[in-house]
Parts: sequence; C-alpha cells; structure tokens
Amino acid sequence: MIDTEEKEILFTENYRIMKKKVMGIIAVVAIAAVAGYNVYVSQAAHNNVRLSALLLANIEVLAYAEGGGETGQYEYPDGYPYTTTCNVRVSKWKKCKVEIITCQGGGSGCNSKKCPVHNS
Amino acid sequence: MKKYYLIVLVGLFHIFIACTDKGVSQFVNVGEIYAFNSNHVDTTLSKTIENIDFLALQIDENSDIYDVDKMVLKNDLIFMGDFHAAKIVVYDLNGKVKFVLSKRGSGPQEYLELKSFAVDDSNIYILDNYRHVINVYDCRTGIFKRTMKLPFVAWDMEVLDNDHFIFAFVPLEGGQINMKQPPYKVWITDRELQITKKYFEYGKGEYEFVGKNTYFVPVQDGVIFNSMSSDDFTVFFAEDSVKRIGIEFSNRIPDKYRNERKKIFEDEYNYISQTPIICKNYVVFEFSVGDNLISYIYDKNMGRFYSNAYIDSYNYLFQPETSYQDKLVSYLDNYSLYEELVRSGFTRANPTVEQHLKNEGSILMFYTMH
Repeated sequence: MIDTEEKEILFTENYRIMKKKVMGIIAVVAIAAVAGYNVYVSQAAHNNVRLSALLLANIEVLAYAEGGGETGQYEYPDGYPYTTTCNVRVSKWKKCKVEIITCQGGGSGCNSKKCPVHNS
Repeated sequence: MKKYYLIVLVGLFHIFIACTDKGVSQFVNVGEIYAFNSNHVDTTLSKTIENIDFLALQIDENSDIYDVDKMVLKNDLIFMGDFHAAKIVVYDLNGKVKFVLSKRGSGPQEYLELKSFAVDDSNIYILDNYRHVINVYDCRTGIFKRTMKLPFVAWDMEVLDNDHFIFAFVPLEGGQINMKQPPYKVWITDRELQITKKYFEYGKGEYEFVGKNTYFVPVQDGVIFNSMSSDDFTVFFAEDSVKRIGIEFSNRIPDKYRNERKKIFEDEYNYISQTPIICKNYVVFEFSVGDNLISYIYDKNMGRFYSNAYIDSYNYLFQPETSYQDKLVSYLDNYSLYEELVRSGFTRANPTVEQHLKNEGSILMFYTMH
C-alpha cells in the first residue's frame, strides 16, 4: 500500500523524468530541424544550379535563332529584367540616355517576348 | 537542468542564425561631402591634365568589340570586356592583342553570360549568373583553370585583396532573383566565396531607378562602389577599411522620387551616373545634368569641381574607363568626334594613330594628371 507521501514523491519523480524526456525530445527535434534546414538550403541551391543549367542549355542556340549573333542583342527565355541607359557618346557634350532593358542571368520572369526593349 | 536546456536551445538558435545569415552586417556613415552646383563649376579642367598619350589598339579577326563595359589595367595588360558580346580582349601596353577570351557556350570551360569580370595577379574571374558559376582563366594566356560554384546572384565583382572578393547586387524594378541570399547590395567574401561582411541592406520591394553595367571600379588602393539609391560613393580599401563620400547636389532627387525613373529623367535631377574613379588627388565623376551626362573632376586639394571648357577642346577629357598609375584611361572609337574636337583645339594624335581611328579602329587615351 502506497501512502500519500510516497505517492507525492513518486509523482514528483515521474514528473521530473517526464520533463527531462520532453526537454530531450525538444532538443533532438531542434537539432534535426537545424540540420534538415541546412540540408534543404544546400539541396535547393544545388538544384537551382542544375535546373538553371538544364533550362538554359539552349540559350545560345535561341539567341542566335533570334538574330542576336555578334550584335549584342541576345534574348533569353528567362532572366532578370535589367534597365540601363545606353551611355554612348554622340557628341562633345551629349551622351545617349535612352533606356535599354535586357534580360540578365540569375532571375525569373523576364522572357524573350519582353526583353530586350529599346524605348526610342 | 532547466538552465542546461536553456543554454542548449540558445546555442542552437545561434547556430541556426549563423547558418542562415552569413557574414557580419556593417554600417558606413558618410564622412566627407562635396558640394556640387552645375552653375558654379570651374571650366578649366584642362589645367589638371599634363599631357595626353594615344595608343592604337590592334585589330584582328577576333578583337572586334561592340562597346567597352569594363576595363582593367593589371599585370602590364589591358583587359577590355564587352558584356553583350561576352568577350574580353586582352592587349599588352603596346596595343597588341595578347589573346581574346570569347567562350560563350554550355561546355564545361565556357560561360553562358559575362555579367562582369575581375583580374588579380594570376587570374581572370568571369561572373556567370545563368549557370551560377565563376569561371577562372589564366590572366596571361586565357587558358581555363577551374569553375567555382556561385552561391548568390551578383551584378559585379572585384578582387579586393589577396584574400577577398567583393560583390554587388542591386535590386531593379520587376526583377526577381532565382536564389536565396541576404538583402545587401555589397558583400565581401573569402576566396571560397563565403560571405564575411555585408554592406547596404535593402528592404523588401525596394529597387533602384536604373541599373549600371558596372558598380565597381578598381583603383590602385582599393575598389570604389556606387549605386543609384543615394548620392555618394564608397571606397573599400580592405575588408575592414571603408570610406564613404557624399555629393550634395543643388538639384538633388527628392527622396519621394528616388526610384521613379520617368520623373527623374523628365525633371532632369542631378545624380551620379557612373562609378567615380580616383587618380592622385582627383576624383572623376560623371553626373547627369540637364539632359546630358557630363564629366567632372573634383580636386581634393582645392575642394573644387572642374568641367571641360565650352569654348575650346584643349585637353578635353573623355569620361575615363579606369585609372592606371597617375593616368586616367579613356576609350575612343569615333573618328568624326575626334576630328570635331581637334578642330577646336584637342591634342592631335600621331598620323598612324589618327589613320587607325579613321579606319574604324579604336584607341586609348592616357591622361597624365598634374
């Protein structure tokens, strides 16, 4: 027969063991989450490189097909819309400030229909 | 026991933060300020120039370029990059073609994009955001050495010192990058591309009103950075040595219009259009003034801005691409402009150089500064 005092001691002991287990589980889950996240980030970056390489393997062919050649007007199927001014000197005081939008690597959402655009 | 778990959790939190947010964020205050008013500029820039030397650049079947987006003079070689043609033409100091790096393609030793490049004592580094790599070539022969995986998207890169690279990324309207990276415009990495320092944080949805082909200019003591979000430039001398200098324009862009390209162009506000170049005690700028992009020299000793003269073209300064020792280096491939300037007093090149320019060749002008 367990008396009340013994019950309390047993309860306190069980509570301590439980608490220890719960905290241990939290610590394990936290470690797993950190490790998992880093693996995910690393995989995502790796996949990104692979995906980009696969998607863009035909860029050169596409660019030439679009009539880019050596003229510098290449078009990409996907990229980062990049706005600059042309900056070519046309006279002693005048430099061309026409806006030019091209597609640069490293982005998504800029395609060959949109870029490049020369607003003049 | 409670304390023990708390310490473990705090430690894990720090590890988590360290793993996801690499590099230490840095803040740089503007130190010096140069006041600029386009109506009060000294037009005797010619006095700052001692003489001009001309160099004809050899033409061969591979050396033809559309434009010079970036020029670097290093190891007694001249590296001229045309990003659109994805080509770097390398000359010796006599203007003879040493080699041409033109390897656009999907092969292992090639690149799909030449976004920018940098040169150190041994190598040329080519930044390719399409394949997320940096390709490394021998800077004296152009022979491929290796490929480094690029863990971020960058618009420009430079060699900061023997142990570090520096990169720039500036968000532009409508753009979305396809990699996860810290929201900073400049960051320094070690040679393994691990970020060590980050500068100029940007907010979500923030973008600049226009981009530039290059954000960095390498100078003798370091690397200069400028972007369109503010009227200043920053000189990185080393990983821990940074100086930021501001320009106080009389017709500055109001903060509320800072990313409104149309408004800025229509109302003709002043802004720094090219990354400044430092040579001796001078800082060379290109500002947008009115409807033009105009070159100015700031004399640090005199605390004064100079511009080219209106009445003649004696020692007229073409906006330089870079500096080399005590010289500014400019590129010219326009004979009719040269001819027009000569008629109003510009130094005439020797007949061989002149003929070369007339034959659609290109030349470099080395301005020796006082």
